[in-house]
Amino acid sequence: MLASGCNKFLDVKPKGTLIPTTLAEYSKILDFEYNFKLSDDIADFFSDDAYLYGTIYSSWLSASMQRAYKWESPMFYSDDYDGDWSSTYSRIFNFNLIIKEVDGAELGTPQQKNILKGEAYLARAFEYLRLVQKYGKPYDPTSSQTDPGVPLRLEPVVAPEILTRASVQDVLDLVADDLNNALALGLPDLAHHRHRGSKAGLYGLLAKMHLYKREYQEVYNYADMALQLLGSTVPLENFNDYSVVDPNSGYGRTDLPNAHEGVEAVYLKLGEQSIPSGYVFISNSLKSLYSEGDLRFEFFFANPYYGVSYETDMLARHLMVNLGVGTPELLLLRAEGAARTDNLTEALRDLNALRAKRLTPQAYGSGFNSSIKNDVIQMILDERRRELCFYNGTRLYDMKRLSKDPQFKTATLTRTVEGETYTLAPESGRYALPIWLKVIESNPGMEQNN
Amino acid sequence: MKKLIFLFLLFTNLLLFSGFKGVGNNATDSVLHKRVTICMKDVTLEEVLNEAVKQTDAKVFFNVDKIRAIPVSYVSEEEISFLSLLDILLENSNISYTIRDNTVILRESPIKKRIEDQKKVVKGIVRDEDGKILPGAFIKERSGKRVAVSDDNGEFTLFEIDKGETIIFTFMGMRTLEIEYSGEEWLEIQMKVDPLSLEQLVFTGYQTISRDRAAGSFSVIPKERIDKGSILDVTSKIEGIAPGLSVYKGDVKIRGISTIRGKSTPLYIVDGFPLVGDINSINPKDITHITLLKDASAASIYGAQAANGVVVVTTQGGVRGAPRINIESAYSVTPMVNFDKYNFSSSQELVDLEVESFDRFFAKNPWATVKANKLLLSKVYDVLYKKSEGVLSNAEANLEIERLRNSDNRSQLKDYVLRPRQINQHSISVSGGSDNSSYYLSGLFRGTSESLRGNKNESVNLNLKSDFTLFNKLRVDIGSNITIYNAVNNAISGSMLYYPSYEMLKDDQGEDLAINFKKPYYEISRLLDANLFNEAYYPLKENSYVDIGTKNFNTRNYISLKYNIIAPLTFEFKYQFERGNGVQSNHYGESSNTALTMINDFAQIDSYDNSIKFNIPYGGQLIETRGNNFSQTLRAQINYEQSSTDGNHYLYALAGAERRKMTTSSFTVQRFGYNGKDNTYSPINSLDLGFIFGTESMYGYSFYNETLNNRIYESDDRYVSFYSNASYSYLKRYSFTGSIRVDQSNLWGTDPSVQYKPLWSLGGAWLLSDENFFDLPWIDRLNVRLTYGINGNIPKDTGPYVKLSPYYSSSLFLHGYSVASPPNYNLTWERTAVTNIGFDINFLKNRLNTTIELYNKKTTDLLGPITTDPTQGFQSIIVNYGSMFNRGVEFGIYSRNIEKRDFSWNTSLNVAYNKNEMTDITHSVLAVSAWAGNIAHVVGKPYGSVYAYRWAGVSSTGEPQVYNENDDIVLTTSGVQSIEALKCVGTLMPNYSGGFENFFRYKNFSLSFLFVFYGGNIFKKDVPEISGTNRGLSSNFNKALNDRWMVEGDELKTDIPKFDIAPDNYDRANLYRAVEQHWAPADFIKLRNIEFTYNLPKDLLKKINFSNASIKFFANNLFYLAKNREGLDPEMFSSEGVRNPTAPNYTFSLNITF
Repeated sequence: MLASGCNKFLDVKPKGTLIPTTLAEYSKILDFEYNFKLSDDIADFFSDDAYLYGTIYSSWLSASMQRAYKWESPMFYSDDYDGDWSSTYSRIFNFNLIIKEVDGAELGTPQQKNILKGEAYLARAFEYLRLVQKYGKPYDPTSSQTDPGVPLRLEPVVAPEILTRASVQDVLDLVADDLNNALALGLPDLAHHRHRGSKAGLYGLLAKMHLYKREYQEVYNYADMALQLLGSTVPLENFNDYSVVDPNSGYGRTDLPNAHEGVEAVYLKLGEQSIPSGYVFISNSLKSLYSEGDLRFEFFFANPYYGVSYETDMLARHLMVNLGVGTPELLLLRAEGAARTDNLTEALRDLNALRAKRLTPQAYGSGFNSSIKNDVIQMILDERRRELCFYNGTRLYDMKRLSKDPQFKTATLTRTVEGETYTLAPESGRYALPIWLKVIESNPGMEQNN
Repeated sequence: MKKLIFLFLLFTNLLLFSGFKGVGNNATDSVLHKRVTICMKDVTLEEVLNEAVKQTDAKVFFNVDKIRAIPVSYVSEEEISFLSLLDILLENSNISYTIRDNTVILRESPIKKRIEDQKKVVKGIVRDEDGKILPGAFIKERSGKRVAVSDDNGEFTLFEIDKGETIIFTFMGMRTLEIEYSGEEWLEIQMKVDPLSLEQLVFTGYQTISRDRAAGSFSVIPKERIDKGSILDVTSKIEGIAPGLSVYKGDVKIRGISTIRGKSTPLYIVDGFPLVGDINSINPKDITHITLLKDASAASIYGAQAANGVVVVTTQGGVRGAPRINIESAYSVTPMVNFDKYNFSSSQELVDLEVESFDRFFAKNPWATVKANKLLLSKVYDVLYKKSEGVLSNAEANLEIERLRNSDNRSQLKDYVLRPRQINQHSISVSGGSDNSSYYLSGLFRGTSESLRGNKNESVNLNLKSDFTLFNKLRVDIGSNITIYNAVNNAISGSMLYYPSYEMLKDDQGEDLAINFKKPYYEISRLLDANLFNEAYYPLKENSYVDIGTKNFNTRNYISLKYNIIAPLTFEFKYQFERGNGVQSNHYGESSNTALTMINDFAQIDSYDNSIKFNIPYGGQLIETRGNNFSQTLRAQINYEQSSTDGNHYLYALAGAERRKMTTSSFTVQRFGYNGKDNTYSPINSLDLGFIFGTESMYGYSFYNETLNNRIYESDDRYVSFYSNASYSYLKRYSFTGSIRVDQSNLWGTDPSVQYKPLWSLGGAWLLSDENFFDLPWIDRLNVRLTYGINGNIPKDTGPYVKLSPYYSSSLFLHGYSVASPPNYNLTWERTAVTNIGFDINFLKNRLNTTIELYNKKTTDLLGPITTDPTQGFQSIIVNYGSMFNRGVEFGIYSRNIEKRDFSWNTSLNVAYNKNEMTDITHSVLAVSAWAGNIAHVVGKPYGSVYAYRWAGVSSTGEPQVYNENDDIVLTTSGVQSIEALKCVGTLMPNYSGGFENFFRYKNFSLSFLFVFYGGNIFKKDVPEISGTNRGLSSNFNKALNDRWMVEGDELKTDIPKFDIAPDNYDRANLYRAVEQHWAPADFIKLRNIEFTYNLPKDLLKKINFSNASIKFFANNLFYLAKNREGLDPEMFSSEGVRNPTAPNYTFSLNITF
């Protein structure tokens, strides 16, 4: 008697948490802020943009950040935490979930399901490209089949099993496959909400992937396809329209818009700059790249900072920046692709289009001009440093690809900390960041970078 | 499937019953109508009747011995009734008989047959101490030849009693009373509760069973204990009384902890239903019994909720008879805590320490940094910065420092912030009834003014219980309970006590003063200069600007029908609902710091014309949550109770099904520009306030999260359960019990295959002393009990599904779903197998009663989070990660030391020892710094074990030092790389606990006192803070810091490192906080309470028509002894080592019954 109607009675589900069933519910997983918000990245401490000194060095940074700065191995001790690793794989889990389950979702047309699945493929490709750039050796087609990359997680299950690192080639192949799948599933040209997937974002990511592989013709092609989708005028913020409002404050120091409010984001991956403002000083090599009248310097850096004067400038951008695909990077990608394939006119056009918006009219003058290919390439590489400093390891990944590029190879880096000198040669295996010790311990036999 | 299980339970029960035949024996007289078969020749009357008695439950008394031997013969093949047999046997004899209930009294008599009247007739009435009538009391003259039983009105008639004869009154649960008859015609008999015999009944909530037949582990809290301490709540009343129940630091545990992640407090059952609300909301005056169910056999009937034991509370029902009224008034006071107990330094010491540390702080934080970062400093630092900037001259600064040094706000705290805590409590109850119905009504009012001025609360509890019987077969019980609770919490926070003691609340002229609270003084001036509002914080004014209140209304109602279908079968149907409404209202008036700060923080000043844009409207602010909960339980149960004709066999079985639904919902809104008088408010545009720059907040930007204070919450939990329970006993000597229960719920992720696992138990009891071979005359009763059963916890929040939870990004205005937990396919339920062996032994003519119990609770498949390889996508998942056991022995003794007419002395003592140990744990890879100073679960160690750094003394520079895994001395937390370096300092959970209570009564006075003790564990003492903050110390510091390292060489004398201002390196403080010496043995014994009662003399009461009146004085926590070196009261410290001193509490009460 009481038992009758039991199923109905117990079928009422509690509110507040839910098991996804509808397309809208799966779709909202991509609207979860931390599925497109990246965390701090220790990779920036590796690059030649960072500079640390004195007591600041020991008192402001975690031990692993300090060791990263010294290119020390092991960089992580067992207590240390690689937040970027765990949050990246957590996002990958979510994207895997959508890829796996969205076909069975209720209340959606097949086309809507395809688009959502495509978005998830794109998002997953973005994460794996970052991972392989960070933890893999610089891409070299002769050894990429055997160079260890990162473990591949492609199913939304937590199944305690021993993981191994897929090769750099396998990871890059997955990235390419995911992007091709996404393309085939029919993403819109542009996304209304820019953290959602679009063809423009997808082409941009393809350009970035080929840049890492030093396949410059493809870099040019895809960057161009992305920019074509954005219309005849490339949306860019003109830094001349903004100012430093209050040199002594943090947020609100400048009135530059945050990435999600500005016009430059094409595929938005939000993050405070990868190293939060107020944690790192810039190196002289980076500082010397900014010429008089480059507005980025005064907007991005400060000295004195919060009323205190330091030996050099502090990173003080205090903005939410776009770490995904944006118009400045697309222009630089197309410019480099063009320059590398001897199309200097187009390269200079794109380079100057960006510089016109970053420099004062006086400093910009008539723009940069050169007919020497390597000078143009060098200028573009420097522009990348000026524009994309502390952008989630971008500089480090450039250093990695350039280490295979005899003409633009970075010199051996040296750092002096507390009287000790540390060096990083371009060929050093240290360029591949060490894997979190906890991951190595959880997966006996997993290869560590040395 | 569900139906099948129900049918299976029903079927197994029916199978059990089918072996029994018999006729109900409930109606008293029916015994004498029972049919007997007698075939005897040439025997005595006694022999024939003995045979007849064997076949019925009748009793026979021979008035005169010689009639026993009267020769009779009776031969019959046929059954005849007992009465007919008597009539035939006594025909033509001079023997007559009288019947009172099922007792036949035979006497020599000239008058034949039934004699109802006699010349010496004594009538009277039997009542208990409270004057309630006692129907069914057995009354006999000492020889047992003349007997009577009190009727439903408590009245009795006894025949042929002479002066000087002794009349004995016995009643279950009461002490046997003997009086010498002195010739009165009417006897007023008052019987006293026998705490011992009351324990012979066990109330499990589903049934009431005799102790003899219960094999499980039950403890019954005697009524006299429940009545003790008029203002005590239920959890305080049960402490120290039952072996195995500990109330350590207010945390109720039965037999230790057998889960790591799940709930570890017992389940509370009130009048047969699980209580949703707070047990302490029950009016303690209404409680008549509390039974603890400790082992699996006792608790498994409540299913998965009962894994931590069950506390069954039975409340007072109506008592038949004339209306009786009980009134009690109580007043309780807790004096203010002595400040010395906080162990704070003086203002002088505080100022000196800040002055000493200033240079180091200044070196790292020049004025420019302080100002740019808008650091909030202490008042001492304010002065010193002003001096360094030249705003104050040296002399002025010194004068100011000297003034702070000599300021002490503690007397002002006593005058304006604190007060003694006082409680006024009044209660009344009325009870009465007629043959077929009864009622009980009670009301309780309790008003409390809390120890912080401005905080007070009131509660009212109304209770009605009534029962009536229809057609002799249907008993209906109804009950309704209403609780109203209103609280006002306008006091400034208790953290005021920790503010630097030189921060005065009023100046010499009695004007209120502002303290350094949220923003530095120069920022407050800047805002004022910009025409914004004044954010100076005046603690004593703030008090009157806020209005924070809670209002709750709860009601609990039930109806129960009990229908006697045919003799052995009863059908029960119960329905209960609880409904609660609550309002939590926080109103910050327009002058309050909270409102003004928010208005200022969101203001934007136009740099062109200095005009101000207020994004938050001026006025008060209201944050209000309205919530309600509703729960209902429906239960249907069939009971079967049957004795065999000869009384040798007894079977009790029940089977039932239950369905519960619990819903809660709440709605929170925030309003700005709120005017409490006309109920108006001003709207805001939340979308514009998400993240705005260029505001006048400390950091130049402001952020309003609409969803923080505008929320909707709803939950709906449902359960369906099937249960069955059976007990069989033979000769009252051998008893067997069994129980089984299945629970199912609608909770997410609960895999049906897990839900269908039943919880069950089996048990047996053997009354050894009843055996013929038992030959130990000094033991009056020896009962041995053994049970085994399974309890468990079911994983409720994870299962083989992915679960999402909503997340709102207020900076992006975006609703999304995060993955709350991944699908988890490998979980099984947490299983605790409990074995219990019990011995009940009575000595010295039952004056010394002891119970010894041994148990082993083995928990396997412990549920808990384990950190996973983060590559899997999750930091941790819930797994079945280990096992542990709780083994223990419990010893209870109750002794009636002296029992005289004018003086009595009883003692109860109980001791419980519990050993907990992790036997297997797949523990996570944790950072050493996460182990140190925290609880860790390690194989071979008990639950709650704390690991700490091994102390290596203070370095020659005053830094804290510890040993690492290589026994090297290190100065930082990262210097210790292996947990091998740590030391297990002990467990926070007590190993042993108990109580020792004595009751004395002398004439109209009585005195009782209870000692409780706990031990075998450790507690954390307060740790002197060795690193300061922006604000200097920002709070009063522990006096121990005065003995800190100051100059080289001090390291030989002290274990307290130097004090340092280290705003950017807290590592030394973290290291020091987790070193071994901060934990100390927590063993203590405490005089938990003492109660003194004076009962007004009976003759006085008679004159004023009262049946009872008493005055009580009660005090708690008057005295303790502790094992730790400093003699600190371990109960005063939280598990993190925060000191919360308390003062004893005193209660006076007056109780009248008429």
